[in-house]
Amino acid sequence: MATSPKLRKRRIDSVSVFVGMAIVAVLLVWAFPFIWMLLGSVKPARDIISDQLVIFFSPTLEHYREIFTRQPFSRFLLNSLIVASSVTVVTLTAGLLAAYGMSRFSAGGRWFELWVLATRMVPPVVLLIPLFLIFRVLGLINTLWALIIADTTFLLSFVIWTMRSFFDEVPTSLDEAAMIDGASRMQAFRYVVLPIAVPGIVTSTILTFIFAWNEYLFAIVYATGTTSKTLPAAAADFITGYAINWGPIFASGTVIVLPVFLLSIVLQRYITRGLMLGAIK
Amino acid sequence: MGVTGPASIGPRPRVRRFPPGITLAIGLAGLFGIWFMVPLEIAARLGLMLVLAAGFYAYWLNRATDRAVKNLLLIPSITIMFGVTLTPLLYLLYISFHRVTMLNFNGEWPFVGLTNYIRLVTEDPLFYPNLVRSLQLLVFAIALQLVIGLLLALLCNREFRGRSLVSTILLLPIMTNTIVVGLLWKYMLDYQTGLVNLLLSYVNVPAQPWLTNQPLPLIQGIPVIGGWLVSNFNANYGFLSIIWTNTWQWTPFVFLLLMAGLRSLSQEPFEAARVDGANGWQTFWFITLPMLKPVIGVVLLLRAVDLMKSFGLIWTLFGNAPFTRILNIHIHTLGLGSQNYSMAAALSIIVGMLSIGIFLILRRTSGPQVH
Repeated sequence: MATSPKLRKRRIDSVSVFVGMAIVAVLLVWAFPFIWMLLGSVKPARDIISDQLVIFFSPTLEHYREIFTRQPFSRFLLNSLIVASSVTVVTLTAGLLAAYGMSRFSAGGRWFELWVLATRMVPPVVLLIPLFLIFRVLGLINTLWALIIADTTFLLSFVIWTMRSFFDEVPTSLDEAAMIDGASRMQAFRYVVLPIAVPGIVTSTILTFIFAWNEYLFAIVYATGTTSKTLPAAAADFITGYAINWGPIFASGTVIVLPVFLLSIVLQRYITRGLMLGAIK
Repeated sequence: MGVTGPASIGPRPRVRRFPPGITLAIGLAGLFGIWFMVPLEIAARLGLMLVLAAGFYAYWLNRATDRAVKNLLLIPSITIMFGVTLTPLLYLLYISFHRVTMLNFNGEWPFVGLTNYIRLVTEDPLFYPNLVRSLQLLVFAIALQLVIGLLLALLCNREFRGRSLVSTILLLPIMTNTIVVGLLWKYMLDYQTGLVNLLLSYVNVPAQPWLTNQPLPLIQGIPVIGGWLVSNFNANYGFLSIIWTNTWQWTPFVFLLLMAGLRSLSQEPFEAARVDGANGWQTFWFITLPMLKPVIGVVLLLRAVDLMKSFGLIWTLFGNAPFTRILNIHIHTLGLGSQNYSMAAALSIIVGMLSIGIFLILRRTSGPQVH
């Protein structure tokens, strides 16, 4: 009996060591590819395609120089920013109002709700062909308008759905109290409900922006010219029929993921919550 | 309004109301006036009209009664959804019942009824292989992600230093651009220069052709059905790479959900089990798993919906190569490669209905807490 606490303690320790090793292995599997990409973006070209493992190399910025001077990546970056911010502004403005209406008055009823749900469930690729033909008729192919409109198709319903859950969490008694004090409905919304729902607004703003920033399907079809190409489409272009130009791919990949990673790390709490919102409620 | 907080709202300001009919008339007159009278380009006129409409909308919204607010709130969203989702969808349906290709796009569109659907199902040699591949990807990827995600969640369901670091790192693949994930793994799985084969060579495993349609030796070696699985059910390296890449990107998401689920479980049953002397496996099988069932149902549903949207990973790894093509990529190839718009439209409708069907089935089986 006297040795049992000690024994138990030792057993727990060996379990912890095992768990610790497993967790380190997990982190390696998920973090290492990103580190490999970052390293690849500053590796000399011949080391990238070496058939030996190259760990020590003299770092170079040639791939970044390649994409920003010999290719108009600053333009692509600007295009991505314009599309992502416009989509965010449009979907959030319309989505916040609709979500409040649905939360407080069940506005639109069952049919509108089903339609929003359906646009979230059905793959965006279903609208690829009709939007392409419509844009072609309207002359919007190879303009940023095409991307903004196409991204709105699935992101507006995302904003409505997410914000509705957040508004549902704000007690209706708050709106009523404000209105008894003399506020109009929209004043209650603006000065009482919106400030409380700020975490939700932050969440859906960031996620909408990131989703639009990451959108590639419509981008590789509707916007292939220099003036309208976005970053993901430009990165995919480095795969040609003959060769894959890895250095610039890693450099552009880094440019694409770095802002998203910074946002994810700084605003992790909001993003995690937003991702899980549709799931657990 | 100059109102900054709830405390300073005070009595409602007396607004001189215009009768709604008059403001509506002024608004419509303004819109027509801009469209017909202003000598600017179409885009500029549309912009002006939008600004005017937004102004009137805000004016009405601020002065409307509750009953009117209810309908006014939805106007922007309904307008947008009508324009960008309903119109294209009706257009898609219309195209799918006509014969429309690049050749006659600007001319006559003969009505052909269900011919496009029937031809797709009976004549297209790629339809069934692509359908099987889409569904197989769904099943295998979900199974793998669920198992690995559950293992990870159980592993991390304790207090340890660096736990938040784990959640942070596991959030990154989810938020990464799919194209970048695909390109990254295309490099990692490369036959000659890929990290995976380089690491394998250190443990004396020969390089594997990850990005080809070579059959998997392990499956091909199964006596009777091996060859059949290879030729009909994608037992090849390329498909395995697709499943793995998707699993790499999305297991963290499954992990996050299951982790949240585990943390929300009540502790009493676990204590009771410990008092009763249950071992770890029994606790997991008879307590953790049944209690986690609702969350697992949600995970299944969300992953299935998302896997039905797969496109980018396969697109970057293999383009539209026939041996890895799924229905979504077939839409792209039919519609934009062969320019056969009506066949692609019929396929789009089928894919849409398939996704809704899978969603409804899974929602029914996964319980009431999912909407």
